[in-house]
Amino acid sequence: MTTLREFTCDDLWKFNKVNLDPLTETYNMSFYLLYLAQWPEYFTVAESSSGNLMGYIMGKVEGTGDDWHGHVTALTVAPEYRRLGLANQLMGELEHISDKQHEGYFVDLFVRKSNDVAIGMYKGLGYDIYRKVIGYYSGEYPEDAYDMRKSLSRDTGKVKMKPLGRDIYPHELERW
Amino acid sequence: MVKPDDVKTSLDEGRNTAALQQATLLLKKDKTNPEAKALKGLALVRLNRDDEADEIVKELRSMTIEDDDSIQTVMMCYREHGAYRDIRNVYETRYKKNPDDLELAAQYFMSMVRVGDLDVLPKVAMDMHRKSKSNTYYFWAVMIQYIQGRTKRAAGDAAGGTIHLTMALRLLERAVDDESFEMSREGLRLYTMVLQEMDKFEDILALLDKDAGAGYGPKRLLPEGREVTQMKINCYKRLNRHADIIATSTPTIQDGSDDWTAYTNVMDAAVALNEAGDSSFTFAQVDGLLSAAFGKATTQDKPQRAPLLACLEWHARMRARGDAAHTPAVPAPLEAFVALFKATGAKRCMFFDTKPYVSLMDDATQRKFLDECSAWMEADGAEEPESKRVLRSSLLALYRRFMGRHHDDDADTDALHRDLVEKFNAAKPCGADLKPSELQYSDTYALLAAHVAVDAFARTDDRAHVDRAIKLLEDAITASSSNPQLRLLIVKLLCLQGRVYEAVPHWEALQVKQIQYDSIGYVFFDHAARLGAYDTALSLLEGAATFTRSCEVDVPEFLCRSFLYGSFHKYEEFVRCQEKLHRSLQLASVVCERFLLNFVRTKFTRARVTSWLQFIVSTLPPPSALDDEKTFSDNSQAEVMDSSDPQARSPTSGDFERMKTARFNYFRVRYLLVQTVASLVLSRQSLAERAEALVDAIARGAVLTAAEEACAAAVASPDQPDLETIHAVIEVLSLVSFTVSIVQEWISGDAVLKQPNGEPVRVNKTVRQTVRALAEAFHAVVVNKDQAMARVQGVLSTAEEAAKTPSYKSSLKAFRAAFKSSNH
Ligand SMILES: CC(C)(COP(=O)(O)OP(=O)(O)OC[C@H]1O[C@@H](n2cnc3c(N)ncnc32)[C@H](O)[C@@H]1OP(=O)(O)O)[C@@H](O)C(=O)NCCC(=O)NCCS
Repeated sequence: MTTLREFTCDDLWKFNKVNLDPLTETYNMSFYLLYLAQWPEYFTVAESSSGNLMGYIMGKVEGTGDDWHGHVTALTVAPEYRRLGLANQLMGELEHISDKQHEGYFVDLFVRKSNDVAIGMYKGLGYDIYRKVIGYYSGEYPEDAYDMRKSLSRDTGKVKMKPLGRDIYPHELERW
Repeated sequence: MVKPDDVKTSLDEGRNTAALQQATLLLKKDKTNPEAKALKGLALVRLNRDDEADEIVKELRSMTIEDDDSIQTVMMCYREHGAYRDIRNVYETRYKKNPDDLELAAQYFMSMVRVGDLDVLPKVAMDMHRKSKSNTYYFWAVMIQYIQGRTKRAAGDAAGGTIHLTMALRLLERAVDDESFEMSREGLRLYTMVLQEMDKFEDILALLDKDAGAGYGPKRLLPEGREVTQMKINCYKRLNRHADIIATSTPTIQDGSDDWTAYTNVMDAAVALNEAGDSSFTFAQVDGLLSAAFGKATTQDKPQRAPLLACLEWHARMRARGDAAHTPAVPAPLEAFVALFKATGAKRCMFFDTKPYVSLMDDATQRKFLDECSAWMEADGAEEPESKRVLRSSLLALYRRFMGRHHDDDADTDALHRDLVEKFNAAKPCGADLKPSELQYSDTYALLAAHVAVDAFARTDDRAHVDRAIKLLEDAITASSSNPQLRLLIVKLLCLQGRVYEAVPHWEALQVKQIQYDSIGYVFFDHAARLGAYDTALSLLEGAATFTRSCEVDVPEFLCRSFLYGSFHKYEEFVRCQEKLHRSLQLASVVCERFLLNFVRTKFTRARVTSWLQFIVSTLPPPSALDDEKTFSDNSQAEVMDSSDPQARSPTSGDFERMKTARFNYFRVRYLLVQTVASLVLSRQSLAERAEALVDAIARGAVLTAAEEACAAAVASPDQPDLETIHAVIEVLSLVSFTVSIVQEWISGDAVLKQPNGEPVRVNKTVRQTVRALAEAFHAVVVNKDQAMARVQGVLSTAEEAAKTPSYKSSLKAFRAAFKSSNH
């Protein structure tokens, strides 16, 4: 009993049960509003029949040339709604938009190296570790990130997700 | 020698205090240097000293600034201070001088959007379109007409609104008719918005069809998907084309999909047809469709939840209609509940999914449900892994509480508590392998046992029960540190016990920040300052103040972005968001509390206090707006705390509303207090006049006017109140508002004894009596206005008298000491 719909400003007052999770960041207002204004189709919420927010995905499309791609900025599901396939569904939605609407070449995301659950899930969805970004996460719990990728239909040879073969530092990341 | 660039460097590097000193030095040399002034303003803004920044902005406003560098810095200062009207004025002057400069025109356009001055914008946008040939600006012009149309309609000017909307529609039609005009996705969406506002739903469907046939260019602009389907369904609804809705949604249901909207769409459509006397799709057909989906789901390994829940929803809807004519021929609630238990009972979601439907079963059926599930667990479920069995049996325990079994007359609370604690301990080992980021399987038992302990406290008044609950929760947290429910409950219990400092680490672990200050800050904020945790309260207030300021500055910017990115449908959403923040009770109370706490704990000059108060008075609504319920909105989210209490006791029912009322009343007192201090500091009236005005205000209500009265007494004594006197007044008034907060809760029925959720607050008997005496004294003051002054003295000596009783004395003393000490 999932209703997928576009995330709205009002949801910012309702997403606490999702966001009180320690692996989920609560960003400043501008960050959310920027995504809502620039990529509203990429910000999707899953709502239960009783109106509870079960989880959401936040993403964008960026890059140039054959690096044009969808990006997952945040994906999170409230603890009581986990293991129901919601994250899979939300990822499917983002991939569909990146593939069909924006005709991107791949989808990518960053994940904490220690987040085995998420890494396992992304692998199950066909993502591969493209490279490791050393010291990507700063702040209270500094950590390396995996940059994971999955090619979309436009990248027929799946060249975009072939592992880079070396680790990089945050300053080497592309400024899309 | 300091140069403007040095200040900029300091600002860039976040050394704001140094920047402030440098800018002040610059200004010493040249008092009228606008750039130096603007740099000082920037430093102040970044130091959260808005009131002083406001002074600077006022001075800058009256200066004529010519050179570009200065203008840039001044604009930056305006922007960071959120002085968008000033920015608008600067751009207006510049645009009028150079109407052909496209970039300037765009900046002018945006500066007007930020402040909502739309009247001249269609012309500005069309000029830009003509000069640049860019269709983007054409759509900007359409969008402005659309907004103006909606705004006029909302204000009751239907005819005026229609003129704008017709204009918008004409512009769009003209664009579509013009073969050389390239339609965009954003433009097409805007087109559907205008059509919708004009109730032209057939036209929207035609537009979508045309797009599907690539009628707006070589490529389809709005590809098939959720958005387009939803648009179509909305149109069908508005056009009463229920058969189309059914045709669209039925296949989804037949697939056993989890898409809830498909189920509700069909139910809505069938009801609408029935009401119209149309039998083309009967209730019996809905029964058939839902039963088939249910049957299919029960044979699957991993069924979706929607087909199972849809039967319950259908029962609920038919019952709500009071429609004896149709008893749904779908599986009965008991059967659906049991099926759900088998399919999803080992998932935590089942309780939340089914809560609204439990009342579909009467008492006996509910018992039967619990029995059948337990029996199933002994038979078919016996082979399941231990973790699943724990989740299932703790789910049944949740239902027992929700179904009222914990509150039955014959419920043995002690035995219940013992049983739950035993189950908690027994369940702990099976979660040993879970990661720290996952919830423990045993958590539900700990939460339930804590609630039962609080029930016991409510019955016996024995504090030891609450201590037990807190200990148990602490134990659960050691293994399940990321479960927010454990922390939220412990914070609440500790605060209700007055042990606010112990609650601090748990509160901090929740990492509440940004928008959460507004939605769930109340969990701690309602108690922190009142119970004396000033340091924590202040840091919370600083965080919330920074958040508020950044919203004021940033949100208007996104009104512009909705134009820039063509996400026109977001514009009104952003406007509403801005209003919601602006009206926030929580954020307004941050303004008041931050001032009051800082004022009594920090030494400020009179000038600083004056400018701060002037700023507050100019930003908060006037006291006369307090009684208008539209002035403030309480944005707190009740549902953040799980509740398995029976319906009547849940936090979303009356109790939470009562808590909101108490919160609002407390805010009123604190707000009046700030206004009173402001009138002391800022007013040019004579003291006698002020005293009279305050006493006049007393007649308005009972407890709430206490603050004003006490102030009147203080005002009456000295001729020229100095800051020391005002501090003393605040101290008295804070004491009063502290008392008032207790009285408020005490007066609203048994709220002090029973807090939301049925959890009681423990108030010492002596304190309770004192509070009652104070309340009565306050009330007497209200009734007998003439003797106000004398009675206030009486009130204060009553308090003094009361303070001699040991238990009250200590809290009073602690309260005063805490308020006076600046390094608590
Ligand atoms: C990661 C997360 C989003 C997964 O959400 P979810 O809705 O539970 O995921 P799904 O139900 O769609 O799971 C898909 C698959 O991922 C794997 N998976 C998900 N959670 C798992 C877990 N706790 N353990 C093992 N595998 C898991 C499984 O293979 C699962 O399929 P299955 O249930 O059929 O076996 C969720 O755990 C979460 O919100 N975590 C906190 C925030 C976070 O880490 N986000 C990712 C940041 S990049």
